[in-house]
Amino acid sequence: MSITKERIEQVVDVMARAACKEYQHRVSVPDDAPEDAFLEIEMGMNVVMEDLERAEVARSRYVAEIEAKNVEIADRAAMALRELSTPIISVWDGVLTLPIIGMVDTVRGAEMMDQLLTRVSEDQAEYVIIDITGVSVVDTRTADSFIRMSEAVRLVGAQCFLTGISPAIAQTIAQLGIDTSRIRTLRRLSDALKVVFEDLGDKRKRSA
Amino acid sequence: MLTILEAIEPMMTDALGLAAARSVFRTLPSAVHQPTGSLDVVEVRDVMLHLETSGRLFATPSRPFPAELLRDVVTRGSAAKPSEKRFTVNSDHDVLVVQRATQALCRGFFDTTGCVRLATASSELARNIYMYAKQGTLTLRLSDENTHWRFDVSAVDDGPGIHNLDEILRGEYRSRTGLGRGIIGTRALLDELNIDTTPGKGTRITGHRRLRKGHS
Repeated sequence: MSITKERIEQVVDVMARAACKEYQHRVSVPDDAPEDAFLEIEMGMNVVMEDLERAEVARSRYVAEIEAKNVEIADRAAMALRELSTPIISVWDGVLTLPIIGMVDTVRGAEMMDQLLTRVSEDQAEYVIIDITGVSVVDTRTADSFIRMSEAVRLVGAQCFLTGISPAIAQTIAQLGIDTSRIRTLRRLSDALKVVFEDLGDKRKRSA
Repeated sequence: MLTILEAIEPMMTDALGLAAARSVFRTLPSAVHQPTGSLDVVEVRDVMLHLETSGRLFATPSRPFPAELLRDVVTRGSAAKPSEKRFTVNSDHDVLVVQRATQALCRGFFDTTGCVRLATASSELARNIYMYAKQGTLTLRLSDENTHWRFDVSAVDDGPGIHNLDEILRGEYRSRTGLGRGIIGTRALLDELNIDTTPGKGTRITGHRRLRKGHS
């Protein structure tokens, strides 16, 4: 057997496929192939393809591993962020504050409500102050979730204050025509604390 | 054609001195490599904000900073092109993206209250797309109308349409999920709101608000 056009084409074909990242092809070498110089090229080609295929399998395994790890990290980060996004602070016995920062979407609103109500009943809180100084935009949906939150807090037996409404947001809420009569609003977090402490003082006097 | 940088270089050197002008140029936004008169309103705003900030830092009382002259050079004396941004809305998160983008777009043209107001309006429209049509497009546009700045918002979807529009506009509707005030509220926040809806076909809402220049 001599170096025919077919043998050359076969090698070129395998190389072309390798260039397309298909490493599973081999140059077919008949058992009774004569030991000529071209056979060495064919055999060598097959060895290289073998190595490439193995390397490719290992590579895709690593990529899959890294991707799985990335997903895990992203999940953990999202979880941490969710926890951080509802920082409920107990500032005094029975007084909880929830400073809300950034933007509030439906999911976040529902989670905040959930965690807040859980804390109110766990801590047997009597007062809850929701501060929205860090909220940049309040639309009807966000306003609705604040109103619902304060009503739910009232239902579990605590008083709820909403503080930190910026002049721009106040003007927008008024323009939107949202009925805010059901929530008790005060200018700053400290104003709400003052009211709460006065209230607590009165109660102590009465019980004394 | 002259780039903005080449055009303003001699003026800046005149106003601030060579050394100061050089240090200002090092921090300019990349839009200054565009030809003069080719930027949109928002790009002009960003370039001018940079120039004026450094102008305030480096200008001496004897040589006032030529902000208006520079603006004329940057825009080549005519109104800049409108700036338009388009968003696909199909998730809760997109509503927040639209809020933030509106605020970023309007900053410098409208005052803080105005920006919050417009961000609320486009948030309202984006929220309606997501809640009722699931998917749609929201377009924001800011343009220069010589004496006024104009903000345009349009929300287009091919969802179920609004079958009780009259009831909603009379304020008699109470939504199960919201306050039922999204649309009238938005109309109150803007100068004008046009609603074009066909039940089963979709909804197209366009609105705008104008503000006389120099009032922000």
